[in-house]
Amino acid sequence: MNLIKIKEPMSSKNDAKICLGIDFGTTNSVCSIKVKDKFQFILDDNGKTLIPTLILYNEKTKKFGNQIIKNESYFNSIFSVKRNFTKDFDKKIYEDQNGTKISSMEVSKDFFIYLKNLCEKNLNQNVFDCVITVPAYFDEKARSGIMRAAFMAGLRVRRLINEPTAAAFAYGLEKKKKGIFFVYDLGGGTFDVSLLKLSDGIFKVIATSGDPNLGGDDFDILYAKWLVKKYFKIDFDSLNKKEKLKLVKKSKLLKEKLFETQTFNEKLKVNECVKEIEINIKDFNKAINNLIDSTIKISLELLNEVDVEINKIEGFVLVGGSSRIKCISEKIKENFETTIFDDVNPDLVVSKGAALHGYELLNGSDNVLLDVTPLSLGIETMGGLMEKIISRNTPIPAIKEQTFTTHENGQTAIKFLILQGERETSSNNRKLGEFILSNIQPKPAGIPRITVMFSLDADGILFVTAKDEETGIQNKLSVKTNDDLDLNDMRKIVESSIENAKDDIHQRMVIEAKVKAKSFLNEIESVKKDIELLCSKNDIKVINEKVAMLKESIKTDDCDIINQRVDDLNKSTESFAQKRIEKDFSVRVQYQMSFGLSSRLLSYYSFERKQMPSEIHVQKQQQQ
Amino acid sequence: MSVNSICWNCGNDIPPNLFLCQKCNKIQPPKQVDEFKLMGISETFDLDLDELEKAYLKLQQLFHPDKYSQLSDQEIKYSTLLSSMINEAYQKLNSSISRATILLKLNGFNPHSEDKSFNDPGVLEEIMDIQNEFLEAESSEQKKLSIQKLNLKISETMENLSISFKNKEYAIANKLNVKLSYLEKIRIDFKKQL
Repeated sequence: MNLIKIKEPMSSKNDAKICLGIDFGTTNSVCSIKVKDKFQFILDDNGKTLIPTLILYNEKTKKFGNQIIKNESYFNSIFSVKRNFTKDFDKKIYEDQNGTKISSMEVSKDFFIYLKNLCEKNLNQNVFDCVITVPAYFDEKARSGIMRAAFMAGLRVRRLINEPTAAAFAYGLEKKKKGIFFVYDLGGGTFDVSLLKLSDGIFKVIATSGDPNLGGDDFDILYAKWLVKKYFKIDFDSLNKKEKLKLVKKSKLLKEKLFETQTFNEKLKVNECVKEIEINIKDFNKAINNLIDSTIKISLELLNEVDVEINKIEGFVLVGGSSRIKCISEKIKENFETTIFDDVNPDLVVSKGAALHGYELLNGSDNVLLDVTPLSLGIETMGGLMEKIISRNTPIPAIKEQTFTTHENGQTAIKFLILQGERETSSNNRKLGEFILSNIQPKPAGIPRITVMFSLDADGILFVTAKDEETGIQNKLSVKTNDDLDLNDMRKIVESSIENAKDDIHQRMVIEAKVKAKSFLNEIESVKKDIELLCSKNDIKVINEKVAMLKESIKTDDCDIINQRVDDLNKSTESFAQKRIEKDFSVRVQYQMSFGLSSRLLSYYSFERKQMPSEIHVQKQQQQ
Repeated sequence: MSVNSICWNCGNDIPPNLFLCQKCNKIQPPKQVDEFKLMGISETFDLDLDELEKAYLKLQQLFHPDKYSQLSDQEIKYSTLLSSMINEAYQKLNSSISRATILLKLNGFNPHSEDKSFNDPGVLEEIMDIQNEFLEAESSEQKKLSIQKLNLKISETMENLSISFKNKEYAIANKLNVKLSYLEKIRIDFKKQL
């Protein structure tokens, strides 16, 4: 094909744009940046590149990273907040300096603000753009959670890239490597493996796998358990929470000391009982052996899955702080006939990859990173099974469509439950969200054509659309947290506030106010029909006025006015909210009366494979 | 199908298999084009997979969204769509089975309409024999031996498939392709059980 080379979008190198590379780790975080062809790591006030991912809210102040570590208050600080992203990062489980309940996402937001400020201090200029790395095996929700936290911190996330991919990018560029490489990335909380093919300027991920909840933290716990059992004859689980925490943190310090010394003596205190014990690497290896074996198993399975012979692979690249544990390379040598490359700094290489990629995104380059999605995506089918639409290790971006039809005569609505994971049953996979496509023209079963489109962008963020081919009615869903705001909407808010805000703090206030206002407007939009049904003409008029006023104020950057109008709208919808609760109740009762108490789970079939029903559960809507 | 489109930016004529305007260099919206044309490679079953990969990487170097992150929303959208199309076309052409399916369709043969191989007793028996041999194998050595046999059968089928495409015998090619997809399924099953 006669293709013309794309012009480099950026002109001269003098005004090269800057983009921060952030490796937001479970245990440590690292930031780096390329400015005018020179790459540098960001140093904190103590001159350290490795910034512990610790946050301490105490007596009206916030402290971060190395500001905390030597202090006694270390034990009260929030650690391993990243681990919560694979669970409920929206849950308000922490308290900030003022005693307000906050979520893991908000804690991370504060940490991102700290990192951003550090960079600005280092460079003596504003920094808005960044590339953030995430574990390759992170699911949709975890990815969007990290992105939201960074957006709320006033950072414009240019790309999310997978940690092992970032590592391979930096490694390949620096060492000018070619061939197939296996990246073994064992961090503080996550384990990833990726198989990549490196050729001239091209970094192509062949396949990836891992465990989002396996890392150095788990070794600390296992080793603490082992020590208490062996020397104190106590079951670790019988200890109180504070004692456990102290031991795990102590165990972590011992582990780090073992990176340098094979054996040493140490006093250990459990429940006021102090013993001097010998700490040695053999015992430690024994304690964590099972987990190391599972990393080997995951590696073997990945190689088996992709049909790549071990002799076709140049070698293993070890990444992540926990890959320093010596028995890991021994175990790899035992199981694979391969070379081990440990000529990179396993703590820093990921951030470097992100910074280099960020620079290229903003300033143009011939290099290209091609990644895959780590987990399959699909929808729930009848009997609680998952029907895959995009399967794991599909290159991204990816767009896939599947056509479905109704199962019952006259069916007017279909409920879609979006899932991610590899298990057959949907309850074992992660639920990403659900939506209902309603107003389908009532037709005999099997006639309507409903096209479901899964679109996975280059950040690995999923957007789902379902469309009734006849009426053209469609419904969109992007993976959301409770605030109900699309990531693309959020990105736009961040972008506009970067252009207009007076300073950093003002910028974040604008973002916060606008995100809140937009989510509220979305919420109102989604219940518009109910408002028209339940409210008096006068109430409807007032609500519409307040909506219009709020919409108007979002165009400005005056957060006081935005917040004021959110309150106004909130007040004007109070009586509606009450009526809606009552109505919901009556609908439920009617529903049960007309259909009986058994839940009505209807099914629909995949259009293309009628002989093999892929049933899905569908909710028949009440006719109003 | 081979009609020119018009550049959304400058109004210049765009040939059907191009996605960049030759005049203003802007990325164009995706259009209906078959996988071979999209990749810019010749329409044959006997693909050089290295060539395919080269063509694929070259296209991604041009159209991956990373190259457009600074440009307008519209261009970002086009690049995401195009890059997805390129990804899918590459995956499809990279597998012999879906490549054969594409070729059959391009030659006006609807692969699904003549799914007769289900009833082909010869093929069915052949497949059953392989499966039984694997299941009855006692040692892992024996199992590996039966996988080797299966692999031999796969390459044999591939060769026949290639010949039937060369002779433009599409009904035969379709049957062979169905057989190939069964053999491939068994191979993946066997691998899991090793």
